[in-house]
Amino acid sequence: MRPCGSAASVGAATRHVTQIHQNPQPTRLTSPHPECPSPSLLILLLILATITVLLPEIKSIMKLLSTSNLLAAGLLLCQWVSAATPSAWTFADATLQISQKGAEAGAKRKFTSTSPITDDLTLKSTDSLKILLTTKEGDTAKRPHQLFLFVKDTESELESFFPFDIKESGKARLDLTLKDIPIALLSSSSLSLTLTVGSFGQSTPLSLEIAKVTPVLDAATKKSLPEPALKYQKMKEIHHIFRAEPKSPPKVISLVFLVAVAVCLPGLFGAWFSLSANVSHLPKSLAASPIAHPLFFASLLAFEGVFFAYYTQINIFQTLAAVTIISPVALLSGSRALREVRARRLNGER
Amino acid sequence: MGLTLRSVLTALVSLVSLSQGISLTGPRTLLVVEDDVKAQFQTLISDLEARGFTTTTHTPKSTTLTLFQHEERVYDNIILFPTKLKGLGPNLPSSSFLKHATAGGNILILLPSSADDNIPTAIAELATQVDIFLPPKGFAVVNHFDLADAIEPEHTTLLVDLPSFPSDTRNYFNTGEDKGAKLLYSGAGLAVGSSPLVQPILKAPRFAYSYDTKEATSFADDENVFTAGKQLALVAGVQTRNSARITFVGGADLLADKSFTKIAKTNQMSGNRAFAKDVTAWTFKETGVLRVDGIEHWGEEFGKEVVNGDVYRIKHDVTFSVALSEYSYDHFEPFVAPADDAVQLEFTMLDPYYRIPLTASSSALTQHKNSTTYSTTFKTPDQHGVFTFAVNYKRPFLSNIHEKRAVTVRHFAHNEWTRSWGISGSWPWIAGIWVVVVGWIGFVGLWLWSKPVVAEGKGKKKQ
Repeated sequence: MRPCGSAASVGAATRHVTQIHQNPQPTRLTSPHPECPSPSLLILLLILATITVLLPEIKSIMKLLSTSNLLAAGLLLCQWVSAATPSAWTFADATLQISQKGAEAGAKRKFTSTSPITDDLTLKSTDSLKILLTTKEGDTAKRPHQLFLFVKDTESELESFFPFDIKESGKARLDLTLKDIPIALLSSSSLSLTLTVGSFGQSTPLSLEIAKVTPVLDAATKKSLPEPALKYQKMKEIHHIFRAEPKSPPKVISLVFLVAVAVCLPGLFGAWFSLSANVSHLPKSLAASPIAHPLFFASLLAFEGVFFAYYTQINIFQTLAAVTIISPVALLSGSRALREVRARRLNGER
Repeated sequence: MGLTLRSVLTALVSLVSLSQGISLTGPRTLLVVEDDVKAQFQTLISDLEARGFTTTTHTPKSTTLTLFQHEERVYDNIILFPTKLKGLGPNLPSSSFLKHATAGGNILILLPSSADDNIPTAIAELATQVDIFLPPKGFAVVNHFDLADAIEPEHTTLLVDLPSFPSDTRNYFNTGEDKGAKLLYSGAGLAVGSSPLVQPILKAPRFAYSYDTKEATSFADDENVFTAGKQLALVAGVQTRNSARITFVGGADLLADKSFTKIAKTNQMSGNRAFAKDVTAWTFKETGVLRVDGIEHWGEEFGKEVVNGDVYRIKHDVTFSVALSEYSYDHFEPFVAPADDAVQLEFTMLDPYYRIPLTASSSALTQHKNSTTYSTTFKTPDQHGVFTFAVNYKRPFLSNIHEKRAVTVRHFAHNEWTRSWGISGSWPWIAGIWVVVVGWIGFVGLWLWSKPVVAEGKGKKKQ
């Protein structure tokens, strides 16, 4: 496979044309389509011819190198390489200009195939972006079949394209405003602009990222961006948010008030006894009505017991049944006991 | 009862598929093709027949051709080959294709590769109806950046990588042995709309474009370029809501015998034949068909003793499991969701209260050993009402799954609340009640049995 060159390596050679200019030697070896004998042979001959013709120039480059003017040498190298490979599409006099509507035209930024624009560009809703360039096949200005600007969202990899207007002379122009760009791309934080020049025939096409642009939307435009179209994919997770659990105050506070309430009971009894309350008549009343008094008091206690049971375990029907049993007892014994109390009162003992 | 019936059916289906090894829709395949065109697609047709499809050939103008008899589909699958004709015959209007798809039948449409050939109006109409846009006659895709044939002046033969998809999408179109194989393509290309039912299967290379070969001979200007780059689809598939499939192939040569060859540039076999198998297999439902084998849900209250019960309580743990399997040519196998994808469960009352991923569980549902059990456990929301367990799994290239099970979520019963003594804030109030109770009992005792104390000067204590 290797001698013929895999599709990938040729693809790489064509995609990164910039390499041709920086490093001419390998490019010659990986001339396009090496698997086809007749064109590759032709190109090889051509390369050999150019090398022999340009030998004196190479010498001049060496001279420049000896004067240690490396930069100038590189530039010169670039120039004659682009001139020496006629079968490659390129461009010249390229400028990019962003100007605001109604305001003065913005600065013209020059770019070449080796030096793309590195500034951070922003494109506002009222701005328009203008690219002017002249396409060349080799070093003759010529109109290619394809001269597109590809605009790509660097995050989502979505891409759109804009063909240039080209004259026969190769002079090309593209005007781009924010509203030309599909809305799917506008929400992107960074758009990469890629220039492609290609045509029929054998010339190597060119694709080059020339700049990165950040679209800046005003609030109204942002609002008018439609919802993204429905896609069948994993949807956002939803988790139910439960209502907050009912909260109790700190236990200390509850305990303080619990104690305060509980203390009321001894306080109450204390108050009563200090006001000379007593149970001295108990033996007397027990002697007068020995059944009614205990029964009455016990039935009251039983009521409380039933209520306690209702609070803790039994249901309303069991409670009603128990109350039905206790009530007549309480009623009968109560009337007897109270009759005894009345007797004491009538005796002046209360 | 339902389960046993289903398992009998499953057994029946697997028996049938075992004997034939074909698509889930059925083997009856109609080829709408003229004889001279058919000769260019011998391998495609014989490959289909080898997989168990039975083919019937009709010419586009055939008068004896009917797609429906007694309102039943006559064919399970249709392949429309490219034709020189401007229109298909009277028996093949675009509505008949939609009717076929509505009845669950699949359609594979091969558009002409040559810019000189017509696209019949019925096909163009069908395309617009399913949100696919075809360029008019005379368009061709070119790519100056990766030439399949260096001496071809038109640059219309494209080298295309096998399809790749985001990691959340199953790739059914790269199952050939050579994953790095290139496809040979020539044709006009398609553009797909934003409908989620339409998916591009094969996209054009990044700098390729489709232009009008008649109008834009010197350069491609704005009006004469159809579309370019990754927006330009070469093969696109539609899956209707009833999971019938319609696939458009932008250039028929992609599946023609002449493309099943060595690529001169790479000196390797083209991937076209394997890709043809993948495309036909997907279109005719040999791949990408999902089946729900069983659904089980149970709650914290009764555990697994009550499976698929009707009532759950709020704020109780509930476990939901669904068993999924996937058809692959002649058998069902456990379905494994793509890495970045998830089978999701929604717990819905008007709106989803939960949308949570179901994870492949190690404990399979007892009834369905040959499927993947996706399962999750969650706490029912603190809202009572009639809720629905819903698995709405719709993904590109997979048949739709939309399963719903409605259950009641009841409130706390009166004896399920926290008792008052368990709430610390109520302690003073409970104490208050008991203080009153004891105080009242004590008061009654004192009132019954207190002896008046004789104060000085007074006979008895004042009442």
